[in-house]
Amino acid sequence: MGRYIVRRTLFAIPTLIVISLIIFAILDLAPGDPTSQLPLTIPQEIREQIRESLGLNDPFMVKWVKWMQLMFINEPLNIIDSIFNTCIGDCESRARIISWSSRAPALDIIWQRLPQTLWVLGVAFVFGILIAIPVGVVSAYKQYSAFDNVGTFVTMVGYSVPVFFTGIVAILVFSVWLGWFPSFYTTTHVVDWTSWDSVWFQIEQMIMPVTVLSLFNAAALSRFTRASMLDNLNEDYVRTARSKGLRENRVVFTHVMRNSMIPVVTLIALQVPGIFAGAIITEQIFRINGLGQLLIISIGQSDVPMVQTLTFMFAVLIVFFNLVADVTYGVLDPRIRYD
Amino acid sequence: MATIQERVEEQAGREPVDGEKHRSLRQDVWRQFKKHKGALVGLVLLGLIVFATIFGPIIYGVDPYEIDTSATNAPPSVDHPLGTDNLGRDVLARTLIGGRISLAVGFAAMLFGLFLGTGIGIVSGFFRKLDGPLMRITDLFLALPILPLLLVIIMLFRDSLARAFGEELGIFLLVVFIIGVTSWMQTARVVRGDVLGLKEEEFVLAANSIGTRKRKIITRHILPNTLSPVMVSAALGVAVAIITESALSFLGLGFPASFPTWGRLLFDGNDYLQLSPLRAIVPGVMISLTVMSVNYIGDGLRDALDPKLRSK
Amino acid sequence: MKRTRLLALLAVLAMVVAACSPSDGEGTSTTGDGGTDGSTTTAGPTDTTAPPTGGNAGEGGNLLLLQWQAPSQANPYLSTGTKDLLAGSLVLEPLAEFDPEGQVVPALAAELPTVENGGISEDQTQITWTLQEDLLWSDGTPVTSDDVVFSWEYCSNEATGCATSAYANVETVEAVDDLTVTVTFTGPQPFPFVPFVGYTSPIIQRAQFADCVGEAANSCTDQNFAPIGTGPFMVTELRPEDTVLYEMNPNYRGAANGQPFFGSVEIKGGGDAEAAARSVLEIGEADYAWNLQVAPEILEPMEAAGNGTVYVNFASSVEAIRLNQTDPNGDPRAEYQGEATAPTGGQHPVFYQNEVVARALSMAINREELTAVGYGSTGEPTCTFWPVGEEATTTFNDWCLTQDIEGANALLEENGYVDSDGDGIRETPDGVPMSFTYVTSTNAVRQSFQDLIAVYWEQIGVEASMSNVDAGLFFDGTCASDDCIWKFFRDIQMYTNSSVGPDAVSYFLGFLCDQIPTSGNSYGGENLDRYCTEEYDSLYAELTGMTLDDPNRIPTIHQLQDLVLTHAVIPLVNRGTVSAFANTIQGVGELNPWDSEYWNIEGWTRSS
Repeated sequence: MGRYIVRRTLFAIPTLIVISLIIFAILDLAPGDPTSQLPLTIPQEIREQIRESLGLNDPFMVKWVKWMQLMFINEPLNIIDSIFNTCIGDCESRARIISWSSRAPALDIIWQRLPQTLWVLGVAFVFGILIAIPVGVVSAYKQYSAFDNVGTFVTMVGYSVPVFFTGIVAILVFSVWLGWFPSFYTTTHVVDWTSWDSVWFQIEQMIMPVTVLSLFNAAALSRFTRASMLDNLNEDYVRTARSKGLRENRVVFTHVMRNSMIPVVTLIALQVPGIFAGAIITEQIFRINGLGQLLIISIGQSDVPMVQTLTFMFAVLIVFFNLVADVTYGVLDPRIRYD
Repeated sequence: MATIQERVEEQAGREPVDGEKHRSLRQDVWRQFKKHKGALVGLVLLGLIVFATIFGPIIYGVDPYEIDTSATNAPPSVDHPLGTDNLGRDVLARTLIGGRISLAVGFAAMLFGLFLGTGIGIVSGFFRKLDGPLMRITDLFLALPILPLLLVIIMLFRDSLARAFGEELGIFLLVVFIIGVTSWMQTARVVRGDVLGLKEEEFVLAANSIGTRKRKIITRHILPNTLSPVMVSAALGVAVAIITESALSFLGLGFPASFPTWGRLLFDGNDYLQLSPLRAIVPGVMISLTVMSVNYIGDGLRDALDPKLRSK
Repeated sequence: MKRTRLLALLAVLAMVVAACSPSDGEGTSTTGDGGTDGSTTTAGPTDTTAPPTGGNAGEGGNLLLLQWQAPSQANPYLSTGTKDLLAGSLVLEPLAEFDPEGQVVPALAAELPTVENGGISEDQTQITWTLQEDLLWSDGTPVTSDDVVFSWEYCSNEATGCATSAYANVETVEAVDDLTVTVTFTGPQPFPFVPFVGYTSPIIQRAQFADCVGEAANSCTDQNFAPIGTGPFMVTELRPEDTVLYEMNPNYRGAANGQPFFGSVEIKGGGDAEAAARSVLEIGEADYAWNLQVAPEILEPMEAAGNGTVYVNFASSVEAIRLNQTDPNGDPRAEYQGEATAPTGGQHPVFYQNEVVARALSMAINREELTAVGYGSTGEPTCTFWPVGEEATTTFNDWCLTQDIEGANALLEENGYVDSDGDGIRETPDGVPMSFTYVTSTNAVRQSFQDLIAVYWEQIGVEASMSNVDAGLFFDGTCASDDCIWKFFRDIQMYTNSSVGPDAVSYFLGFLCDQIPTSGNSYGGENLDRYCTEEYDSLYAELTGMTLDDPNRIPTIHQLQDLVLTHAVIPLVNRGTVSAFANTIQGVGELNPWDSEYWNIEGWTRSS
């Protein structure tokens, strides 16, 4: 098991390197200019100086190798240093990936925003699972029943109505008309778990984005669960189990559900890119200072190092969740061998 | 990673064994499909939507681009059944014309993605040597952060393509190409799994042993038998493509303002949600309805094409 | 047992995702409260526009400012846009600033230098500033003229990549004594209030930035995020593209007068202008929303909700049509004509110094309607691109403010622009069809302008083929794409130009022959319209020799405008600076379109 994880992790490295090259190549063709937001009266010579100071005029391969060095050598060293309070090599003057617009290390900014993205995504994910699995299981067990039809309809709606539409409608109804929830996310709020008010404030501001996202997640998941359950319910072993006189509950929950979860877990992993995409839009609508919002802002400002690093971070997260799913899959399905 | 989906679909191509009367597969599928009420309603609805977007603008006859600054943000009336936008353009006419593009993008991107996915799936399932590399590429594409890349690519290439092919066609081609290129992976995996199973079937082995050429085996024996997963992928592909296009337009990076699609109309109408809510709600509902009917059809197809369900 | 294992796994999976709490991000926080109780300095004579509150400084609680484009950092010299300048302006102050009318008023300086008080040399090549006495940085150390010198040194190092043109004409900056500093220009400056004036070139502290000059500027994150300043607030935490938190500066010179009223300020970014407007005007959850570029029919109902008020003020942001003045007769300066990539092959034969066409096109436009559709009360129709107080010309107002289709048709008819082939489009006397390419950036208002203008011009037999380009490419300073405004390969382009300060001399530079961008100067000039006449060049030379109080100055500026307006530029709408304030916020006065909108934030108060 341990060896399998190590091997999968090692395999992820070349994948990520190729991805970084693809991202880099695409961005290098970008005609964007970090000085385009400056007033028109700033003369060209000054713009040129700014571009020069940002290292914009280097050739492609030079820029890529530099970035790779920063990303895979300097930044990890920096993380080690800051965790263990050490100083490896020239830690004082070590170059880092610097955002063009804020002139701050890109990874620091990402690190600052990662919790918000993971928090909203994570809660939405958990809620999604909590809603989806029971709905999927019951829908499948009572296929074509009223519950199934209604459930199918609701999940179809959740799956088909784009996140940006539900988000807008939610803001209009709950913030503007009813005034129940704030329309933007107070990013500086620090949750004090001992104070109910503080926790409630956090719940209040998360409720809309989380609902919108988990609705979407739940819809897709319960579709998968239902399909997978249906497949298993028709298997011979179910018939055998029933004919052995096992109680129906046991048949469904122990045998069918367990087997049905195997593909669902894998499909959850395949959904991860979609969930991140949904998060980009949700963050944009609800003004959550997560990674998605940062990406849109950075694209707008032609902040190439930031876009590169962020896109790469998304790739890392996706690869990581795929890995988690694979491992989980193995744990759930004893037939899979790791060697 | 053999998913249950793959495994089920490996079996989907097999002929029903216990059918006593001879029924054609098509009749069989249709009989089962009809049982799925949602799919049937979806089919009718999609038909209506397609009809409305193709012939609607001709029948309705109002110019969707005509500016009337004397009737801006008008509520629904006899002249304008769904009201007008901030330039006095008719919302109904714009929704009808916008649907053409959204649907065209949806179907074109689906066909492109399907073509790629099926091709790669068959090649990688059939030719052992290519299997490894192709599946690694598939994994790579699955690990790509699609939406961020889409945003960047569209920003980059929109204008050069617009210049080469004209504003509308250029962006259409770009959006279709990009959605297609980034949505073939699931199809490829499913088809590959299917082909791997089919390769071991007696009829393929038989064809092989009598020296049938590879191309013929693929087109005659393999391809028709992968049809069912491909059809399901196709249905879902349309839905994904329509949503992706509108998401891009919603982030302001899809079609330009002068060129209405449902996504773009929703994006433009978003700011006017309180003043003239229909402007955003109508295209939003149209996107949702289309995607929903397509998903229902996909659902029905999946059920209908599953031999185990069909024999019930 | 097995079931629990499954559930446990799912739970673990979920926990991995949700492992972090929402707000434990490490902000770059800086503590800058050196002298905690040093609030004994007396207030300078002119640092307040609102009456003293009478209360204690900082008793007003928190002020929430929405800037939908969030600041990236707070060092104005490295800014990527107004958003950063604003964030810096709460902390850093210049020697003098602009008031809402565009008049220069002292900030850190004791008084305004003039020729009379000896502050400006007779030959206009030197300006001498004197700092107020007893000024302290927020860390409690005194402000000296050496800091002023350093601010210039910081920027004059090319490797710093300073984003300001304020020091372009500065030869040297020298400290005379601890409080006096002399700026020497490379030549006579009729308007010397450029360096150290306004929020684009404030004073930064030498002690803090000494190691951040040149290439090191990029690695000075802490300094750039939390510069030490003299202003009413100091940065406590800055999260790039998101939030800036400020606390009252205890060493602020107005502290004895109870300024600033607010103890802390939060600048919150994200979302868009419409959402920000809604937060302040409709929901009432924030105190201020910046730069509300929102359609009037959306803004007005929001204001009616009664939580806030929309403030508008006008400076020099004019949306105008630019007619390509490239000389078609092989003039050597029209270098790009040979470029095959130009859609028209570089030929713009109709507009070159053509008074008739420019006037007819202008007459056909209904500016009232354009303003109403695009801007409502936040814009006003204009007939000049320099609507700055008395300096705005009024020569064109008599005919340009009212649409006159018939007049335009008659004018074209008289001058031989007739539709000779009956296709509804006029031809020039030389037989060239009056059909033009018209490009602007992609933006709802600009596209509706294009749509409307196409209709106006159709009525006078002129066809315009409209296109729009993504703003990132249109305003791309590298001119990587052929669509950038500097290349101007089309016949007509439309955008808003505005002046950084109210200085006519630097703005009118942009119509000189030697300012034409060509492939030779990497499209580096400012004369995008390719306007070029000897008359203008010599008149401009006269203007540069005039002092600010010269009686001929304003008539000369009028003449210069008239020359350009006759041929090259068709102004449409004067776009106001638009922001919204909650009704509880008092003491804002007029919105400042020439400087930071937070220029008088120390005087803002909240009524209960």
